[in-house]
Amino acid sequence: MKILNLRKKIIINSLITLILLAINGVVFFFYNNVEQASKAEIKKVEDQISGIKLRIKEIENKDAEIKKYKALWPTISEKRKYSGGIKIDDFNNVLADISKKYLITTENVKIDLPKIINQGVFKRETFDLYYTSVSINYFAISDVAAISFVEEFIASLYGYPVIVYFDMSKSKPYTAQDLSDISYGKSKGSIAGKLEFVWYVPKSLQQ
Amino acid sequence: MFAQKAIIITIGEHGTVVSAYSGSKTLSKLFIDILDEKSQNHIKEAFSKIKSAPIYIMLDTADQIYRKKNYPLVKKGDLKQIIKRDLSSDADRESIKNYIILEDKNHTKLKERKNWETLFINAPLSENANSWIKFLLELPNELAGIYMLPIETIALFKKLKPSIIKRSKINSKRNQIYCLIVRNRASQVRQIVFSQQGMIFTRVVDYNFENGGDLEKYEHDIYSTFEYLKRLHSDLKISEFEVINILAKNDLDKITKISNVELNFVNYTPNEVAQEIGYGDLLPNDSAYLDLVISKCFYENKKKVLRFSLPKIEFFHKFFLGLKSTYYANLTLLATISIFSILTVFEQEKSSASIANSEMKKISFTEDLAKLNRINIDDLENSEEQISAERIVDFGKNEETFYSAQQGFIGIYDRLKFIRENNVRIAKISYQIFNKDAKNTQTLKNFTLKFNGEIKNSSGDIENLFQDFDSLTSQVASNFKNKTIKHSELPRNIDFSKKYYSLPVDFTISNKAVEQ
Repeated sequence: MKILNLRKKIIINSLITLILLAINGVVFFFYNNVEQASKAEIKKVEDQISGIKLRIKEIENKDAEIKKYKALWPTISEKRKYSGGIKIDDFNNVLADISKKYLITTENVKIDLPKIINQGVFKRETFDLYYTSVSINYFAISDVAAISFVEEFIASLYGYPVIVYFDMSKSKPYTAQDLSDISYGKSKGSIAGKLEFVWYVPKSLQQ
Repeated sequence: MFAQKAIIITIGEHGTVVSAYSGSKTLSKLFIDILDEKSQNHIKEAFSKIKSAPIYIMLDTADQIYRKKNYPLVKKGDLKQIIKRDLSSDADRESIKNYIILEDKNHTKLKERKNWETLFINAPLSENANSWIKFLLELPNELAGIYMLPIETIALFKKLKPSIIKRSKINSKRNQIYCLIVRNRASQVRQIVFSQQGMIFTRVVDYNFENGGDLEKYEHDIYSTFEYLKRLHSDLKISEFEVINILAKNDLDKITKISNVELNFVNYTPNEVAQEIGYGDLLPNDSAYLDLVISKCFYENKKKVLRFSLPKIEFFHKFFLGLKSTYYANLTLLATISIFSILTVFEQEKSSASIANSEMKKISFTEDLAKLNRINIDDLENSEEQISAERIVDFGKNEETFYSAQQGFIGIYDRLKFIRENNVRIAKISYQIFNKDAKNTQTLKNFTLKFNGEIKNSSGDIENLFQDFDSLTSQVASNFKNKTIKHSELPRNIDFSKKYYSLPVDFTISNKAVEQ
């Protein structure tokens, strides 16, 4: 009787053990699930916070950048604020006006087809940058006129012309005949100059 | 509910003492003369509420045989094998047997020993004891094992020893031998001798001190025990032989009348012993028997000395072991489930708090972001020019990128204005950006400037020419610091007879870095 009772108890206990093992598995699974789910939820919110922080940082940086460039804005000339792209007619008009002013005879004016440049430091949000190479051979009656022509011409162009080559030489001293020819407009002058520059001009994206 | 429980059955020649304990409480104490149906029912009823308590049988019978045997010094494992072989070859099949290897506390290392001392114990099971075992095996409780009362009395002796030492009249005791004379209800008077090795001798004696009788026998028994011990411990002296009487007050009164000056007694009543070891409520004041004190000490002693068993007991023991294992497994699983449940709740609360905290942070940062956006929009809307911030930034970047490159030639030419002051007439000037790359504005700063012409002197003093040339070179150097400057020198073959001098000059200025 006692053995039967003991056996019965052992069997019942073993069954309870199995049930408890199953419950233990379920509880562990649930615990693990809760832990993973909460970790995932926290990570999701933290990722969102990181995104917001990043955005705040970006805005702060942008704000600092805007403040910096806002201070610079009044110092930028109107010509450099131009964003209409390279316009050959305008270029020719400026060249003609200033050449006339300094009695310059231009020859062999070359201007390449403008190319777009919008990579790296040239990347802009509101406009694309175009550039072209310009080459002008010219004659002047004096070195002062030759240099003044270059200075004024470059200053008159909108955008950013960057001189990459300049050459000026006097082929011979002036004779009385030369001076007479100059006064009659028959001579181009004995000062030969060559100007090459790279011309960067913004063009608004809306245009 | 979870307190330690046990039932101790002390079986002797004169009856059986049954006691049950739970924690420090004594649940019941019974004396059973004969195990008949009535007493069995009584016990069953008494134990019905403590079915989980294991039952320990303590035999306090007179026919227990203690035999000391020496074995040669072999490894302890081998010694146990030899002893088991000796036990199995013993012709006495009816008795329960076991052994103790006596530890020699003076020689703890194997090398220091001369031999192994062992104590063999044989205890024949009387009809009464067998009836008890049979009855106890039928109870739902586990029969944990059979123990010998004299051996297990060590638990009481250890507790009482400090008090014995305090009461001892021996000034210089050079041995650790103590002879306890106790009266139990189950077996009457018993001598038990303890040494450092535990119990080394016991026997049941019978005294009746009424009217001064048996005092001589008592004295004689002490001497005979002493003589036996003298064979084991040759340096033992009667004057240093401590006799501890734990007897009824009347008996002790008689013993104190013994006029033998050689004998040293320490006397206790059973109640005094109970008081000394902290079992104040266990015995009545006039109790004459020590059984209950011994059984309670045995119950409290976690490390029982020597367990005896029977095949039947072992058979049930395996079932109980299996049952206990399942209980413990279930308890462990329950604990694990509880822990995981608590952890789950804790984790849920923790994660809810963390998520709430993160959400709060998110809201706070979102508000900050909205505020920043609003400020930016307001800033831009308030600006008079109504120009987008992006456009301002873009043109600002243009200015940064090109300004210094654009200033290149014009700026350099401006720095050459000093030339006219040095009587130099320029014939040719050239400026060139080398290795230019329109897509890299840094390359647009690497220039070479060349100019040549004539330096003129109209004063007629050649010294002035030299001074003008020196002035020219030093001004070029000061105006183009950190640049590489190369220039022609004045010719050596100057015709000093001339009135005016005009000599060629040639300068090349370039970025040092490029030169390298």
